[in-house]
Amino acid sequence: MTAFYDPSFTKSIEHRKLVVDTNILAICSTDLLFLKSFKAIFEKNYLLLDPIVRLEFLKGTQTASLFKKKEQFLEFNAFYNMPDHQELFTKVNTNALNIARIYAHHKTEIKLGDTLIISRLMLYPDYLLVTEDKNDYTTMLFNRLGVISLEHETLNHPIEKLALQHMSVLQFDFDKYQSCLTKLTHN
Amino acid sequence: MARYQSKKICGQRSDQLEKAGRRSFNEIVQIVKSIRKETIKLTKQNDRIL
Repeated sequence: MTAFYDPSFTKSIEHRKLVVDTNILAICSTDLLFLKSFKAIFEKNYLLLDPIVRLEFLKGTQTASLFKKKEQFLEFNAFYNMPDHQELFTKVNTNALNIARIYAHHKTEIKLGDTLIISRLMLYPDYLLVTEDKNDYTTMLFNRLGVISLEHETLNHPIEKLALQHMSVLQFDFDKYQSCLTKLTHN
Repeated sequence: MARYQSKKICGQRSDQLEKAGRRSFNEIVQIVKSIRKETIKLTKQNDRIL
């Protein structure tokens, strides 16, 4: 299994806290070699689980036995749970409404889960997000700090056993956010 | 904009991180193998249904 990335980039973000998006977590839970490589690449980072990521990861699980195994996977001692309590939730809600308005203003759909993940991330300006590069989190509000490509063993692909997974490391940009918010109030 | 101020809530700092669990990598290895096996099985079953 091969990884393609710039080691100087991962060194530059050493000790930073990384929120792991659901798509990356799902691959980690089914591909041992991917998990090993992912853990090695980010060995000097804190890997954080957002409550919404945990929910997205577990929802839609078809059988009770698989659900139990996925719950056990979330108990990996390499992961840290992000704080979750009522006072934070009020702030997350306020941010979520602004994020949803900004996307609507740009005539772009954003999923509720992604809205809430961004909204919680905004509470911690030094945290980063590692996610599959599929434009879920766009440069309208984020800065892309680096990209890491890592092979992973596909589950059921007829001709591609090792697919390439591109992961973006993103940071929320408050200046971009403020600029988008200002445009909202002037319209 | 709702930004976050670290402070104590219910006796715990609100930015304090806690490990998600105590399962070691060796335990997780077995769990991942098992999730993979069951996910592939379910995917095949679902493909047959479709």
